[in-house]
Amino acid sequence: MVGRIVKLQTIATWTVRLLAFGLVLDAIWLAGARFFPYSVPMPALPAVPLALAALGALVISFWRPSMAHLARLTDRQLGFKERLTTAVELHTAATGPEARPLPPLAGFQLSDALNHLRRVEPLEAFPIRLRLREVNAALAASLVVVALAVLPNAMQQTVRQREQVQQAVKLEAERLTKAADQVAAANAENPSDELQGIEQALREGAKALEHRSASSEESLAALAALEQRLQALRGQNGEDLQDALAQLAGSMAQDPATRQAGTSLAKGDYQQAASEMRRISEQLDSMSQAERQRLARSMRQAGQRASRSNPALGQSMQQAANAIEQGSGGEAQGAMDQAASQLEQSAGQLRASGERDRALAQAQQSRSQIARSSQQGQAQQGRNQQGRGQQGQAQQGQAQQGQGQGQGQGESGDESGGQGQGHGQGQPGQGQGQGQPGQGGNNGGEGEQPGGSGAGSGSKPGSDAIYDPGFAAARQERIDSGQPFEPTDASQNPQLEDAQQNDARVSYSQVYAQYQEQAVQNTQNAYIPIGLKDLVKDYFSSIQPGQSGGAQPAQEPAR
Amino acid sequence: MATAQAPLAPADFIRIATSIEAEVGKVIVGQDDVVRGILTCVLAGGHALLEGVPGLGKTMLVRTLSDVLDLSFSRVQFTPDLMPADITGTNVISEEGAGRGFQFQPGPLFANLVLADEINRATPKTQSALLEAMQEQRVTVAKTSYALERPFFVMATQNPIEMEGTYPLPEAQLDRFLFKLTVTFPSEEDLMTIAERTTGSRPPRAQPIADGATVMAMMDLAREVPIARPVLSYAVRLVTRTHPDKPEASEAVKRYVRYGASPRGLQSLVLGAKIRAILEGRFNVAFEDLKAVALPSLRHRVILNFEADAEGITADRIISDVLLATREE
Repeated sequence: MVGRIVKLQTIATWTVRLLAFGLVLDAIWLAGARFFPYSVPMPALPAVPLALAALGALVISFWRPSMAHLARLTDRQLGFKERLTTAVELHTAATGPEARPLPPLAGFQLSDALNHLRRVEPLEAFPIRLRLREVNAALAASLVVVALAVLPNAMQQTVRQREQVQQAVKLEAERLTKAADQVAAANAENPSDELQGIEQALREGAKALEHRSASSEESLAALAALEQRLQALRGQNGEDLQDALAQLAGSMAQDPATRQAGTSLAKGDYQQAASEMRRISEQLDSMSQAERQRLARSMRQAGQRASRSNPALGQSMQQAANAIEQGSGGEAQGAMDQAASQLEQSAGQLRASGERDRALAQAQQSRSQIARSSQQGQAQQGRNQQGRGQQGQAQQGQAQQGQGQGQGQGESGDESGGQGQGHGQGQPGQGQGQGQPGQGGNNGGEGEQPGGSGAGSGSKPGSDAIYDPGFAAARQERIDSGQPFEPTDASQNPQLEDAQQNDARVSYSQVYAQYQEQAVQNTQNAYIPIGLKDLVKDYFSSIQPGQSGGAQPAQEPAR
Repeated sequence: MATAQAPLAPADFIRIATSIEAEVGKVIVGQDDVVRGILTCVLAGGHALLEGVPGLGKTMLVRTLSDVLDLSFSRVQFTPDLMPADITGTNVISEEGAGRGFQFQPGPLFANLVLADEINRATPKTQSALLEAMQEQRVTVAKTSYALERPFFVMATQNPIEMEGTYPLPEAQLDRFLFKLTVTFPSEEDLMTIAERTTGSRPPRAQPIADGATVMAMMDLAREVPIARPVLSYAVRLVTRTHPDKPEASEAVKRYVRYGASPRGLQSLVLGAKIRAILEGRFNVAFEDLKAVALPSLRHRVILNFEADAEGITADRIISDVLLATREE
């Protein structure tokens, strides 16, 4: 009975101890999340102490306290002055494997110990109670854990950013794998070393992404390496061949006899185009001389244009034209069939080039997505830090002035990222306020106005330009047509209306340099045709502050 | 020599011991702890050293005890000119039959209970003459050993060493004493009782309670009290921690103690605890028994250094620190 009670007491004591220990581990875990970028899953917080406590209770339930231990415990608890301890030792000595005769007083001692034990009610002697020290420790630890879990953690932004990047990297790795599968399917239909090389490059790129998903920089480096590898596979032949076929299609489309073949060629249906050419060769005998001459001229013209880019195709076309013109039916038909075969062969080469271009585009897109994901996270983190700093300043000023003040600030969850902020102060009936132009923000979000009785308002800088990549193309048309760019046109973008209506703004000159630098950096890092790079540069030149036609802030914000 | 007696029942032991204490208490007022300590020494077969300023009744206590125990008693007043032969005895020329011969004349040590009064007034040479008698319970004179009659107890009294004309006892001599008991000045209430009892026409007189055989039987029984291993382990740890060179020694011990308690100290501790246990009506040694006898058992065995003397640190304080610092389990 005493043993069971002691075991229960031990379980209770150690359960609370382990609970407190688990809570301390939780606190360390949470505290570490404020210094190192990892996330703490909230459901796991109670699980740790509970699991420890349960495990401890389970282990102790299998523990069998020795008689000597129970005797010492009982002596100490009940003040038996080591009667039971001595009695157990005497009993063990008399009945154990090395039994020895007991001293004359042993009988008296055992009897004395039993008499004392009989007077005790186990449950009264050993009331099961929780020790105050352990309970207090558990309560204190739980308070710390709750405080650490509830108080805002700046490091969570970094964690979210990492998770976003990891997710983006994973997604792009899957896309690369899918692209590799497509290349593999194409290679199965028309096997070629080039397709096999592209597939291998894509798979290795996807594998590298999966392995380096922890860091956006490493992922970007892996994708850059993939792009370089695909670029190395890309030769001049592909573009030349494409040009040759395009010119061939244009020439053939001008003649009624070869128009269908030219149309198929223009559509990229090279098999159909080859079939059309074979059909024409079969119909040569039924053609009139004039038609044959026109066909020969058309074929020669097409061959001449194609020979600049693809001499083999051009030569075969010209041979066919010569044969048609000379009126040799069998020879002309053979030359036409050879030209059709040459066309099919060229189409096969072009298909490989297309796959390579698609793979390259996919790699570029993946790099762009990962880079954007990383930049979004950094921008979000920066906005949060800036917002906290402004709020602190405002609260300090509020305490000093003793007047009602209101402040609003917010953040946008939109991908384009943005920030709007404003500040107002005043007294009832007499409002005054200042504001800054919104900074690339689509939505200023919600703001707080702690304790302010005054109303604040800011000037609305509707004429400030806000950069929007989707808007650049439309603006370029105006540049090309010689019309000056009006920043007010920014309001035509419906996504910008919310940001413009927001009271929180930053100056145009402040954002201009930032966006220009970002855009130029992107054009250097990403694969963008040279012509489009110039387009971006022209755009920023046209909206540079201080230049005619450039955007000017309606009012510089006062801080 | 006391005749052997049948084993004593524990109840008889307690009854006799209680009677002895009560009888001594008729003469000695207050000093219950000292009386208990003296009785413990007797029942353990050990010797006691009583320390206190003159006039506190140390000699009276031992004399009363001899009356109660009905044992042969001798008293030796130690003085600076006392010689070893004065207490052990010497050979004298005697006329026997046809011629003369040396005959051993026993000294005052040949008694059951010897009172060595003011033992620290004798020179160390004479003090050391007690060594063999106390340890071996025999005396060697002129290459001849003479066994002392059992039971044999030496009850020594000494004045505090600070007093003039005293010689500190050698460590080896001190170690032979089971207990060193400190006789303190009585309280006012005790003083009034002392005055009433001793200044009347009929001063109190103790009656004999037990003879030598009974004491021997009580000694045998007391040694049978069992002691559990955790308790014994605690006693060992207490003694060990008085040694400054042991890692578990406290800072105070390391700083102020020159030598720790000897194994005799452990024997005194355990034996004293056994006596105390049975005197308390228990048949096993408890931790509290060890704690109760720790000071008288160890205080004369813990040798302090000069730093302790300079700072007024006593052995009692060191032992109290050791008791506080040593966990029971």
